[in-house]
Amino acid sequence: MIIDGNTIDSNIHDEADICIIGGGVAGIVLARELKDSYAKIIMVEGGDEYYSQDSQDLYQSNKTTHFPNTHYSRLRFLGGSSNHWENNTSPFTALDFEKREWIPNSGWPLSLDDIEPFYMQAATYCGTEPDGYNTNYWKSKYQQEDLFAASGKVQTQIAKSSLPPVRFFAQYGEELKQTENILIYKNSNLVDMNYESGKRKITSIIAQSYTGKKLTINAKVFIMCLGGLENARMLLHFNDKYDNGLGNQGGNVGAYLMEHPTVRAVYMFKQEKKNFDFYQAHYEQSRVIKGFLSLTEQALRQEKSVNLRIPLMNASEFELSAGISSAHILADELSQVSMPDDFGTHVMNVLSDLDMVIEGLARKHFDKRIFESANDNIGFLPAMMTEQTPIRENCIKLSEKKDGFGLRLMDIEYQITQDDRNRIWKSLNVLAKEFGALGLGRVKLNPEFSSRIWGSQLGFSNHHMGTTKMAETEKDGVVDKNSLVFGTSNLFMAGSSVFCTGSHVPPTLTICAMSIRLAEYIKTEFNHA
Amino acid sequence: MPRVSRRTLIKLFGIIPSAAIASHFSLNAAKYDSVLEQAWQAWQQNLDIKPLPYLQATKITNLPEAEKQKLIQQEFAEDKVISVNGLVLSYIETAILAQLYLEQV
Ligand SMILES: Cc1cc2nc3c(=O)[nH]c(=O)nc-3n(C[C@H](O)[C@H](O)[C@H](O)COP(=O)(O)OP(=O)(O)OC[C@H]3O[C@@H](n4cnc5c(N)ncnc54)[C@H](O)[C@@H]3O)c2cc1C
Repeated sequence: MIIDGNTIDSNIHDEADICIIGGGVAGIVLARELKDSYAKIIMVEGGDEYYSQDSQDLYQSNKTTHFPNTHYSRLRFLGGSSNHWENNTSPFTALDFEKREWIPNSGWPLSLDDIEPFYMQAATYCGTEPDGYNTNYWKSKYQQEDLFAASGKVQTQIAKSSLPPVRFFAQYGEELKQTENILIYKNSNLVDMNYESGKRKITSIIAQSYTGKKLTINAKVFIMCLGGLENARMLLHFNDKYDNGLGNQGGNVGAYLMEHPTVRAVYMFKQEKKNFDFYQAHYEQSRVIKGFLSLTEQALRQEKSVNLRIPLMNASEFELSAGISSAHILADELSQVSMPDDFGTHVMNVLSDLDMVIEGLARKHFDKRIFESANDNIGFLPAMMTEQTPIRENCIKLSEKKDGFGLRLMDIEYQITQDDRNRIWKSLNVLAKEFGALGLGRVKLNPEFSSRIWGSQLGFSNHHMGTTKMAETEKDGVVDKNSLVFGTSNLFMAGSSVFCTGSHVPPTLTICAMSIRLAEYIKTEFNHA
Repeated sequence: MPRVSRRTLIKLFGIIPSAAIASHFSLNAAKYDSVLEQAWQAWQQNLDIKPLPYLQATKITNLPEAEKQKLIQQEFAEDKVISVNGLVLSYIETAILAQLYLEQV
């Protein structure tokens, strides 16, 4: 059943075995996984069944330094950000969970073995089907060549997405609404939490509607599923009230924020005789399967570096023109009467690539094409998702400015450190050498475009991770290995906020797998109906 | 630069066969020269020995194309690479370009 919080009587109370707060990906998976084991599950969702401006405006932040605008980079209604996700999925690797001494703050209190049993079911949720991500399997199925099979340093991994993308509430909402023991309160925003420190127990939460109606919910178990940023923001509020007793004993709530910065830092020129088809989209009825490149565990250990997700995106001669990029940099800098770094290199790039620069000018100013070869597909310009090191300084804090419910807005402090940039270049060097060693072509690293790579051309993936990090102890994190908030016996966190490191692949398949695992844990720890 | 050096490589090693190469070089001779010069500089900064002795030592000059490629790939695998304005090339490739530069000046 679904009830609109805007239309309830004022100040009602309700009670459940399980209270799920947030009806996005994690919340919906948890509701489905728990529904057969408990007499009553309540889901509290701030948004409606569709987009509404009232709700979306609550995703505004006060200040987001170097970070994508949080008003647009997530959606605040049932289904959450799955309402605009791309549905790209791949599982994490074993190394992702390990403590790597060259990556500060890395290491999970879990291993891949803890998550792996849930990946296939997670893939079913994501609409990518439970036939796995094994490169050899897909290679045989499509009778394609894995060009990196013989490499110890670079590997082919598989990405799958559903077509069209699974919008979690559109897909599973009707079933949830029809389920007798599930009650969804929509337009009901979590605003407060009551905690008995003696018993280490959350006793109730309070949700408020846009019409000012208040809803108090008592439950045995509470699970916060508000997304990678909001989980931390709300927990910071409650920690203000409860003297940092809710997972903030070590001051970790909001810290270790990670994204997947997306960089275009290399040109890859391919050997024409090689067949790169495995790395292009293979369309099936309702999904797409594609190979992409990453570094092997062996290479990462050897180089002490971070991994990259390298999709081989076809590019023409025109797109792989260093001259055009350099011309842009020179024009930008000179128009501000300043001298770019690597001035000589840029001039050289322009001169030595004059025909493409002329082509660019002709296209831009005269809508004319001159050189036929400019359109030749000669290689790849990958937009690479990169793993980011979790650092304490990248964090969410509460500002003094307040939202419509009187709750303080977030400030986000964020940077991509020089260490991370150096590690990315190091990994790209491995790629360049391996491409040559396998006779697949040549790779050009473009450090002279750094100002653009880390500036106007830098992309983000809208993957918000790490702000309520999992750890062995409260000194190092916010939740334990079962996602239970330190200092409590019945408050759990779900979603990528609990990630310790972010891998080089998108998070949502792992969010689903961990939500299924969490449901299993809750079922064993808390009495069934 | 990478495009030119790529073309230069094509010309020298047949890495990517393409009919357009020759016309591009005649269009812009400066490109070709700059590639050679950059390769020379990269070579100088990275290796003490001169390009020609290196090429002679690898006995590459008269080898059939497939064997040349094998040697070059081996160099990549052995980390014998030089960045020529960001383009990662093997020593042999760079030496050939650097040698061409020396012959020009
Ligand atoms: C443009 C875009 C593309 C993406 N593409 C991919 C992709 O290809 N692959 C991938 O793996 N991931 C992708 N993602 C990320 C993916 O969408 C998220 O990882 C996923 O949605 C997170 O699930 P969640 O349940 O943790 O949070 P969400 O799905 O964001 O759900 C949070 C829920 O909490 C609700 N809520 C928030 N605050 C409150 C409150 N105070 N009270 C009550 N309810 C509240 C929200 O309305 C929402 O329903 C993409 C994201 C974006 C924005």
